Amino acid sequence: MTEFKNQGNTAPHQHEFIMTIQKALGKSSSSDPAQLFGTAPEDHENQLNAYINKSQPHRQALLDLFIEQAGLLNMIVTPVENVSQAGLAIQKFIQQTKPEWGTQKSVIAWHHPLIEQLNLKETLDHDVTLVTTRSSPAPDSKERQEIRTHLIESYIGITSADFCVAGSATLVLRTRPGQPRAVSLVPSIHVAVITIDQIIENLTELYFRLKWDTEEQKLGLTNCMTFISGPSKTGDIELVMVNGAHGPRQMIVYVITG
Amino acid sequence: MSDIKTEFYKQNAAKAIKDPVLQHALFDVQNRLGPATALAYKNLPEGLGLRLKAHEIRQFAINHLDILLETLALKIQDRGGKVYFAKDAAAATAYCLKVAQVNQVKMVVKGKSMVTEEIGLNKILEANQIEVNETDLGEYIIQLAGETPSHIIAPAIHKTRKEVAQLFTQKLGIPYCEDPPVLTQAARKALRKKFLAADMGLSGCNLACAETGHITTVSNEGNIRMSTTMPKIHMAFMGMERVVARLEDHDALFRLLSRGAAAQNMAGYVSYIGGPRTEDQLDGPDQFHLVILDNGRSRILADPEFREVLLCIRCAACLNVCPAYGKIGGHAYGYPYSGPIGAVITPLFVGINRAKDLCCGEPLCGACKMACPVDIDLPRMLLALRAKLADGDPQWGVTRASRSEKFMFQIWSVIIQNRTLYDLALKAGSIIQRIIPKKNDMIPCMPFVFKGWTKSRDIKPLARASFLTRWKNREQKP
Repeated sequence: MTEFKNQGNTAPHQHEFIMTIQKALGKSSSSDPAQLFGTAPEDHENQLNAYINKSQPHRQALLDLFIEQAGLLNMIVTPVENVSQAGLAIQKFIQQTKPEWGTQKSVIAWHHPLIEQLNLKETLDHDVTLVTTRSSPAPDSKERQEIRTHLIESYIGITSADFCVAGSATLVLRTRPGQPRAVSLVPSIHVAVITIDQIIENLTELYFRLKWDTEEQKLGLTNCMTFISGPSKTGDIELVMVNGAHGPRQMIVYVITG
Repeated sequence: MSDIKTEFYKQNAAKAIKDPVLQHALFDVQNRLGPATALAYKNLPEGLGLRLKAHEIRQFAINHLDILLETLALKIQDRGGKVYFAKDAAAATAYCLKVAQVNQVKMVVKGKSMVTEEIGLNKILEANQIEVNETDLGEYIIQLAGETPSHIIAPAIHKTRKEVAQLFTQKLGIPYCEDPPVLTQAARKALRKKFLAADMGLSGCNLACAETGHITTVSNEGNIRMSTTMPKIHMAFMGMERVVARLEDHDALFRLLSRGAAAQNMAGYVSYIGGPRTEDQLDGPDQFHLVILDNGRSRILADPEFREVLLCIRCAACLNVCPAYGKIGGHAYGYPYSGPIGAVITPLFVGINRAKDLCCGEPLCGACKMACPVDIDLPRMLLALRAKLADGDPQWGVTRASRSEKFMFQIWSVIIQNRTLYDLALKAGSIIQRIIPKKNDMIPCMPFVFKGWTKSRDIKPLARASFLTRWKNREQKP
């Protein structure tokens, strides 16, 4: 497909395309893009500090707001004191639920420090298959296919999240090695485990931190950042709201408060 | 190119008005979404003013479109994505087909995308033996039924649960059931197989971010995430105007988009996609392609009178409040874009003369402007289109729609500027109207050239005496 090949940094037909736009805008050449994206506000470090070091009552208020908003979306939020309580709660949840497709109880979980601490391997009943998405530095197609097969067989996917936006009950998940995006998507039930300090106020705070916090800048948005606000839903038949269109039918978030 | 049926606006509108099922569905969608969206705007912490801010953000992006697209393309290429700039529908569909053929794609899954409707992508892929599966439930229903979308975000709103039940019984072989959860589950099961087997996923793009180099996709069902995660190739299509400069611009815009589209605080899923799977990742597509489409947009951009329409983020809020859409539905507009937004952009895309009925059919009531999350002045542009039809416009290749109408208005403008002539005309009118038959004190049918006025409405006869005459008489009385 030679005709579509890139030449240097220019995409096919980019030059003519951009020239047409410049002509339409009545410009002769493009200006410096950097100035369009804004510079850090002078007090951005104070602002970041305020965001990162919220007071305990503020955190509690945000948790309450998250629970309230999640309720409107049929998303269950359960505060737990510590990781082992979360582990027990998940174990119990798995005992009480049945797979949507087939009979084998398979669970897939992110390779993530918080999820390791749940100790699920030890506590789950032996009829439950648990696969953790730990991977080699450059997983080959065989390794990826294995994970994909487990993923499709699993009825519960367990992830953590980067942030949780209280005001709209939105989990923000970035893609990392060992943390595939489909774990929050393909299984029938999405279980997420987060800590209370990951709960933030609103999108304004989210974008501010992603943009100006040097720690966040290192990772960036990654090649896939997903916002999830509740289980999958549709209203396409006579506007009747139904949960479970193509993504998870049910969503549960455990918030570690201790 | 999508099939253009704008010439049949009047016939299709008349048909829609006579369809009681459609009337009920349209009433329902407007009655539920229209007021809910208005309330959702009101409840914003920033209030309605956020719409004005969003307007500025979009205006800024459109004014710097050249730089923003170059930045976006560069960043996506840096992550290993491929960007293709398509000047028209033919170039975009040819690129998609080429990539599909080179990679031996047999089956694609599609997330809802208006721009792929605009370029008529499905037909071209299908003609080349590639199976296309629409995966948004509404789009899936109309694909099974062999129809076209009638609403930008609720494409199957014209179908009742009975019709969907019959369709699914026939096409999916499930027992007849009218329960929406059961029907949804049947589609979930059927499409899950497709998601897992497809070689390529297609999506649109709601609003790209130039600064970070990501497109975004928004859905409630999760079908777009499935389409862009499971197959080994993801190709996204975006109209060239669908980009903003800064990450924080999405703050106002996503909140407004979710409210405008479905009165939600936040859509169920929003994904930022900036490139293919990296070597260390376990999933995601191996190839990511972004097709940026002009297809008539640069012509709109070049005209300051219509540039504002490129601010649109396709939420369909204007459809949910429009009295014309509420009666005639989406199909009458004869093109994928319907409602007030369709009445402005369709003529600009397919030809103002060809789609003249669309802009003449809207009532200019202003409801669409009030409902628009980015405060686009659609009524102003509807009037501008009508002005072009009245006088012709060489720049847009518009010929005068009606010579006789122009002539009538020229006469009228003489009469109305001359009191004596005007009084004379009134007098003549009141004499003539005595012999015109009336029904309930209204004139159901005007004679001669005035016939058109009463084609779909009755008009009131002229008053016996004009207001000024009555006023004078009143003052003279003791």
